[in-house]
Amino acid sequence: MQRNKVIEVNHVSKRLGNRTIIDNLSLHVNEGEIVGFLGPNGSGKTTSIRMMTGMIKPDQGSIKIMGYDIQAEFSLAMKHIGAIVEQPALYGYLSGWENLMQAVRISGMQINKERIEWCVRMVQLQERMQEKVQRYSLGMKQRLAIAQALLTQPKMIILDEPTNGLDPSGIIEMRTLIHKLRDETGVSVFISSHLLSEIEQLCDRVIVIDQGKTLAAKEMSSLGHAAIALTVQDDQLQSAYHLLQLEGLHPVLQNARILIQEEAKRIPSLVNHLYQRGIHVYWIEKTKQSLEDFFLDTTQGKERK
Amino acid sequence: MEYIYGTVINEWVKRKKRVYWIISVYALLTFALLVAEVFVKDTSVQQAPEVQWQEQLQAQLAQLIPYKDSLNTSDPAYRQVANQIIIAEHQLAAGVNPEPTGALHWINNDMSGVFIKYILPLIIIIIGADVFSADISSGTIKLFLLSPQGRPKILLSKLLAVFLISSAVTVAIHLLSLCVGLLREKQFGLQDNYVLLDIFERTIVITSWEFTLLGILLTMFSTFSIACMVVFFSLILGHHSGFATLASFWFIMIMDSLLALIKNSAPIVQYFPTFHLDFISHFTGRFDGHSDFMTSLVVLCATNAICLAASWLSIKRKNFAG
Repeated sequence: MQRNKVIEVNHVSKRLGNRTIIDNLSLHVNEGEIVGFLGPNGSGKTTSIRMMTGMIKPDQGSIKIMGYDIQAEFSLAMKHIGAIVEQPALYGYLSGWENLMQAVRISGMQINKERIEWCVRMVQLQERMQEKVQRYSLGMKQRLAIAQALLTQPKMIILDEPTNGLDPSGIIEMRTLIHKLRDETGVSVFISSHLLSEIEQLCDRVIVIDQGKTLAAKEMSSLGHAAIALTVQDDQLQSAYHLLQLEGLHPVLQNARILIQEEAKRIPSLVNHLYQRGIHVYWIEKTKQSLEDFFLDTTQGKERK
Repeated sequence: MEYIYGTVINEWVKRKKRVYWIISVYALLTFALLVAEVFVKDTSVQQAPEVQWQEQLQAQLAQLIPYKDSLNTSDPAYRQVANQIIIAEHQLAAGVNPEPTGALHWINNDMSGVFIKYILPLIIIIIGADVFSADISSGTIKLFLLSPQGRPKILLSKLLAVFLISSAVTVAIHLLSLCVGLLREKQFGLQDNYVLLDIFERTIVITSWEFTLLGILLTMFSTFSIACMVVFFSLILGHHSGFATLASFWFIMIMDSLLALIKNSAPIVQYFPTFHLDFISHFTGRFDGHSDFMTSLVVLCATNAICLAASWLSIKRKNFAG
């Protein structure tokens, strides 16, 4: 089923000084979708998010939110998104409730008390709203910032590294909250993170970028396909990899293993083939390609090219 | 309009403690002065019988006229002395006491001089010098940038917030002066007369309440000019909150004292904006310098325009991410 696009980034480029930070980046997020945005440090994730939220202007290309161009129709476009870019924008010396009121007053919308209370309940901060934010833990600040972003009933929430600095229970709470948000409100979530396991458990789709370019975009459902893991000696890993490529396979290196997607009945002949070339296979396991494999394969595959 | 109103309320919420603090300190100082006046009188000295104001004014004139004749017409003090003589002569001729005894006179006394040159700028710096810089250095500017209002409205609304909050503090201080005046004088003195100069430097007589209204209007204009300068520094030096406050303080409160030293040798210096903040002195004949009312008006309007244009360009282009 064709779903509406909440945000469309079309051929966007950005230069800072002599360096191209974002190079012809294109991506989109559908309604009700949770999309993970992955990339190594310095790959251009935060710059992309800053452009998507109107904080910096792209040199080329266009960004549309619900069909509104973020440059030409800024106010109309921004009414449809809520965002947390890097650290939550909260006043430590004000209470949680007053922080929400600060956002309400400059939202340009009529937001009633019930809506504010609903947002507070959603992030489970009812008991702490009268306390000053400087007494909040980082996880509570992140949740308050999400409540702030939800006030205007946006179509999409953009979260830049929301689990950064959170302890394990904070990460679990954040994951539960994002799922709950999507399930109860249908809001799309665009989330950048370094924690691949988190993205794997949260997202419907991942987009990988490096050096400002989109390297791959993949549905999470297609990642989990069964694969065969072959364990060989470390010094024979590269040779085995190339041999399997010559056999027309698409092997993926994972630690000291090689993952291949192949029918079980062909495995003995492949192992035999490797053996005849002097490569000994020590273990054969059934496994599946994780997001980490996909990410490493995408980013390292680019380097190999 | 909603965004502007919202931002003004937001800034008020963030700054109300400072406002209460400023008003409390001012009230405390006023109260201390009153107490000192009532209780610390030197009773050992025999009080001279009260001298009539006409005699005082005539004595003043007797000193001013030869002083004026001794001055060169190019001397900045010449114009001030000449205007004071014109006003004093009119006060004598029309029988207008230069020191009316109504409570409104307590407000009118606050409208110029030290209040406008030092106290008002200090109040505005305390209230607004970090209006942008605090948000930029702490990252909370993102709350504004991510709202649908757009950058020019952020600038306009923050400037308005500084102006309105500072004006409210000024009005509160004037009300405090009125209360003290009422306690002392037991009457408002709405119909007391003042001899002033109009913009063509002709003498006119207006009532106390008219003078108060004129003074509040002109003080608000000066407040707006100071707010423009403070907001400009806060935005331009946004990544260093303390530095932005220091720059405002230096430019608005210190620079004019230094420039005054070279005012005679470098006439261009007289167009420095803070020399013209004491706007109402043109009407009372106490303006320090060659400029007339229209020159001061042009200088302050130009300052506002330059600060606004530079701030607008800065906020449009600034990369707040650092």
